[in-house]
Amino acid sequence: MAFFEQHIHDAPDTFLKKYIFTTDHKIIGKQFLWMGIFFLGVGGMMALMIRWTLAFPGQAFPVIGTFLFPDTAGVVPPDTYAMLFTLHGTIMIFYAITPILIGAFGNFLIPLQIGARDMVFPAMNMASFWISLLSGIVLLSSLFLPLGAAASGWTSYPTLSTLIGSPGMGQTLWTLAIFMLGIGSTLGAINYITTIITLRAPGMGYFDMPLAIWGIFMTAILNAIFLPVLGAGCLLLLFDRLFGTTFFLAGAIATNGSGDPVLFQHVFWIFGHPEVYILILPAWGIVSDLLAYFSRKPAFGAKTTALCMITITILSTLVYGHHMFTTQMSPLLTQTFMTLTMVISIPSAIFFTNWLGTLWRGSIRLDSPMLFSMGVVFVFGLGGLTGLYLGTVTTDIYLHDTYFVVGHFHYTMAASVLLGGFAAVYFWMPKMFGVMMNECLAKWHFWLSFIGLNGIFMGMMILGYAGMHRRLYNPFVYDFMKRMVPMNTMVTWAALMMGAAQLIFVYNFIHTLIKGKKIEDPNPWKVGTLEWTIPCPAPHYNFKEIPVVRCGPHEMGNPNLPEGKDFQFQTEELVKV
Amino acid sequence: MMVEKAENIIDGKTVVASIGMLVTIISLSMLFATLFLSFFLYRFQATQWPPMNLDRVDQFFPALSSIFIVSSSWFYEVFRSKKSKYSFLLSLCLGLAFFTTQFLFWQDLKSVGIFASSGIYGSLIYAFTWIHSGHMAIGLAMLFYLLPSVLKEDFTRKIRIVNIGKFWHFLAVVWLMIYLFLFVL
Ligand SMILES: [Cu+2]
Repeated sequence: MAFFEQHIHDAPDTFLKKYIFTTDHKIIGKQFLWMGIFFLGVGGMMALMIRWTLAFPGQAFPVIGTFLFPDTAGVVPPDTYAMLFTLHGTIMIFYAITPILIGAFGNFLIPLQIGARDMVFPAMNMASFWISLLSGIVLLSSLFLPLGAAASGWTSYPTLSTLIGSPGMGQTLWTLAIFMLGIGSTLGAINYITTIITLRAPGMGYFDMPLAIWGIFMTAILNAIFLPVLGAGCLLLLFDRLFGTTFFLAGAIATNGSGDPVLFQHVFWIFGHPEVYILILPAWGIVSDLLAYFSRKPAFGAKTTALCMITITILSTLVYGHHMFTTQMSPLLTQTFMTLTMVISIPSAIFFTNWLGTLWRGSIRLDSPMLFSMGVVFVFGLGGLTGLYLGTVTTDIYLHDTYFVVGHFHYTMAASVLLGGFAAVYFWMPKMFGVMMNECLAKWHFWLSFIGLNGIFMGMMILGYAGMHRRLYNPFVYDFMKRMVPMNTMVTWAALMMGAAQLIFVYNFIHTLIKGKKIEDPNPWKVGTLEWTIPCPAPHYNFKEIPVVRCGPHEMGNPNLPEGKDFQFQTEELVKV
Repeated sequence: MMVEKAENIIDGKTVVASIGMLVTIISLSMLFATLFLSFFLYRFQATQWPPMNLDRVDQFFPALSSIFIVSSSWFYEVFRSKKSKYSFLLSLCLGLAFFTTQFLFWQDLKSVGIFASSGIYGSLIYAFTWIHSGHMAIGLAMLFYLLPSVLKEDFTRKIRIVNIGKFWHFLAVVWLMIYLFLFVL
């Protein structure tokens, strides 16, 4: 199947070649992982500051508050609050989740799981990482500008984001950073797509790929198609801000020749809705695989799952209007977008049933990756269901821009993707670094995160249902929201708990890297995909001999297998009676 | 047997590079499609076009640009199929000529008082030409990258020549659409 065989290159000898300007997909994956974890910390800290302000308005943020906001004696000032929620969203989506799920695991898993020696364009892969990192630096540097960073929300709607709404350089740098990240991710996506099409090991058809690769494949396709749309929007916004064009200025086009702010919303959501799936598809794929591995049976309806992913990918391009019901869209359009949105629940439901089917009567092993995967099943189910209320015009008009929306998209995009990412880290840790994470700490990490995040996002949905509007500095100055202080305090305590749980993870991760004992068994989870046929950690050329694939990725619990064995490698012929 | 295998490898790599270039071109078409989407939204929301009682821009330079870019594409194809060094040089010069006409076009616009900041009409014209020219600069850089080997009459890098050609033709097609929708219609 592979279109050509890659050569085995010599191992890089200098530090610079090996760890900095590397073209090895495994090292690039780790670079992305470190970048993602760093930004996850930054974005998480911002989230805690936002939560603190909402629960204890007017009180100084503990410990680092006086250092960060000396002018207000440690209280988060209103303008900073706007920057915080803007950068929290931007960082978490583009600089934490994207690098971890797509950058790190996309890079790390694709060649290993399809039996290739590296990505098909290694130099482009390196460029993708460095452009992404550079754009992250541009974004963070905007925090140190005199007028501060961007403060118009992660959606950056004009006219908030034009020079009228944000005169400072921060918004310009934000737009530039997102444009650069778009270039980096598109380069990555081109690489992923080409690699998956051309470098699958001999014998590996598309449906023999692990579902994780399916998820990443669909993500890469969406990325390649829709990131340029956001890129065009960013360019126009940049022109507006730098060269005085009038694309997004409000006004009648014919008479005074100015632009149309709603256009940016269209462009943003044409990209933005697929972006939701860009983030979630890799996690879906990984979880679909892990559920099968830890239930010790083949993934239920694996082919259907893959087909559902394709269907969802296609449908996700047609529904963006459900974000814009309140922009005076014609009723015909709102009804169309609503119906199309509802249609997505059909493949999603099939998908979800397949997950349950995989779990059904499996001999479930509750290792930490499995706990996280089952967390995803719960969290995604809840997040998906609440989406129906937002996709329906009648209920959305009431819930629009409330904390219900915030709770919903955090359940789907943040909670499930984060849990999926952690599942992947715990699961592939032996393959990446040759060490196992501490299982006991991992379970503490899971339960504290899981309870914490449900406290946060369930609380947010209740608040939103009660009518609390998002992005308000101090909602309690309004009479009808005065009674929401206790609920907000609960959410904040849950957030603090979840934040503390991540410290357990960081400790576990770093401690394992430094002190962890090298594992002896190269296949600790007893899984048959290609990456487990080679030593841990993988040598720089991955496969000495390109493997030949003879069966699917989750051939487990086959009753015909010889005594004492409950799985088989993908390189082995399927055992029959 | 060995020879056959070597040929297979080259074929495999051709397909790989073609897929990579195809995905790149799809990505870039989405970029320009978004720009055209915005153009059409503005165009059809306006009761009068060009807005603000502006006159249509002079078509001399855009038309000249179109002639240059199309003939540049054409000579590139001649170069690729006939392996002629001079067609390549001609294609490169026509590409540079396209750039010159773009600069002259911008000068011309300024002389009649259409700036990027003078309303949506100017905004659209400048944004389209700027973004397209940015891609043209990348395309020209690719041609200059091919230049040394072409001067030495070394045409062994077939895959690169074909793919750079695809990019170059893509830009020509985009320009023709810009010319048609922004300047002619
Ligand atoms: Cu959506």
